[in-house]
Amino acid sequence: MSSSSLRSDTMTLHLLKDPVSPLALQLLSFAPAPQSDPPVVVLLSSMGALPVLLTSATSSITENPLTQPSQQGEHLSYERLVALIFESEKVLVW
Amino acid sequence: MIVLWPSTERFMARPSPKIVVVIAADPMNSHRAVEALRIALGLGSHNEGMDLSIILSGRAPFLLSDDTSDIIDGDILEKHFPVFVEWGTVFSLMTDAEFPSSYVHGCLTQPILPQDTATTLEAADRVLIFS
Repeated sequence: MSSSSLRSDTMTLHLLKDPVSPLALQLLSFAPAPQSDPPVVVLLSSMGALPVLLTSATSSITENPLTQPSQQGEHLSYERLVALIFESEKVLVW
Repeated sequence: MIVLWPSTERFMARPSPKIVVVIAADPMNSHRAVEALRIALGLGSHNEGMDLSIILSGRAPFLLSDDTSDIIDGDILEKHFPVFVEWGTVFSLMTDAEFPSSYVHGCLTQPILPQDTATTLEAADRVLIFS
């Protein structure tokens, strides 16, 4: 399967820098349109605290996703992050 | 800031994507606010900003102030801003932002609620955020 066929027509990827922008948290608190996929939120830091969002799943980026201590949310590898960028219809960098 | 564009094939199929530029940077403390407007100008130049929406948050509405003396790169702003007035660009000001006491002559604004901002971002083809 080619990478282009994995693209979602409605998925939005939000990349959050650390510290997280209050504006990002404010706008992500609103529920997406029913016809849209839930947004995917990734914190671009393994050290920062993951924001609690009721409207979307949050992940943080890390060098070693399998060895990181478990905390709230999921850990992503850089490889998976790159794949997510190409799978998403839209990428917002906060 | 990272800008990610669709593949050439997708871009050709949709030659005029709806672009939203969100500016949350404080123009009195960062050059990014004026630079964001300059970039928005470039993105909208192919059709006089018809597919361009600009949302100002935080202290960014001061970009529209008639007094640019405290704005970083205010000279660049004064050089480029008349183009937005000529295009008739309507700047959306988030209702919880800070506003200047008076605006540049001819500048068009409209209020936008946070939930409407979220909806606008969701409906856009491409979003650039400067914070």
